[in-house]
Amino acid sequence: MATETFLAPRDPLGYARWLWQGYLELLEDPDGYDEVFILAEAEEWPLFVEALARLAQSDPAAAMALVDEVMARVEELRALGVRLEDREAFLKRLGL
Amino acid sequence: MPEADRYLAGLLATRQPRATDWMLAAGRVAVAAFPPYPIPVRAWDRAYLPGSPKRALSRRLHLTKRIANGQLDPGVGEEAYEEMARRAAADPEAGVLLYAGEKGPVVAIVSRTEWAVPVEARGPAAGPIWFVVYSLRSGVLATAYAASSLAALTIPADAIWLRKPSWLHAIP
Repeated sequence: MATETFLAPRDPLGYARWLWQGYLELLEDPDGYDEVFILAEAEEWPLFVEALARLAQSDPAAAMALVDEVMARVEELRALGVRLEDREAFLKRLGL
Repeated sequence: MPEADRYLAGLLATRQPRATDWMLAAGRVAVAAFPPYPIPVRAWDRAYLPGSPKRALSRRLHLTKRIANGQLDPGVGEEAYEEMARRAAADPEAGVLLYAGEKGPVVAIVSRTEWAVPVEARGPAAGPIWFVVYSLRSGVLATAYAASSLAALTIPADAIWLRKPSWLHAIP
């Protein structure tokens, strides 16, 4: 497994999937994590969006599949503090 | 909560900051640190960390991701990363804002990456903005990362800009 290297440009899907799985783990047990860490994850959402946008350039179908997963959890993500727009605006931001 | 942080959090209710309040907010960030205690590492994060630890300092987790997405050089250490967060607050052209989040009020610093991140520490994907978030409720740094634009940060519309320098009006 890659560590301490520039993973994102080499494996856009792996990088985006890594970030998304992290959010899924938070959603499974939001009370099981440190409050400051959850704040940080919510504030780092733009980095996941950036990863999705990068993925969309090389593999739009994979990006769209992740968008579908995100949109299925939109209310839970917002409850974490993620500033997530509606689907149309989100897709526009990603260039999809 | 220290008195300074309580005052800054209170501005979200009164929405009447003084002209000098940005200095107070930036000053709090300039001396802040990431949480000093280890936190649980999620399974997927663990796989990307050397040694796959079950607990780690949050700054380690953030730094690993900054390196993975090419914002910072793999040679950057945790203390240097933390210093970059503090340095952002000392940027003479820093934007300083307050907003409320689900996990309490925060101070955010929008600084220039060229100021906050030493050239040798930058990775190939370091954007022009170095963004830092400080938790007023906890009195610690939450995160620091590079962004390509102000719009990418999706700053809340009701955020209070204590200071917004001209360069931030000029970028998207």
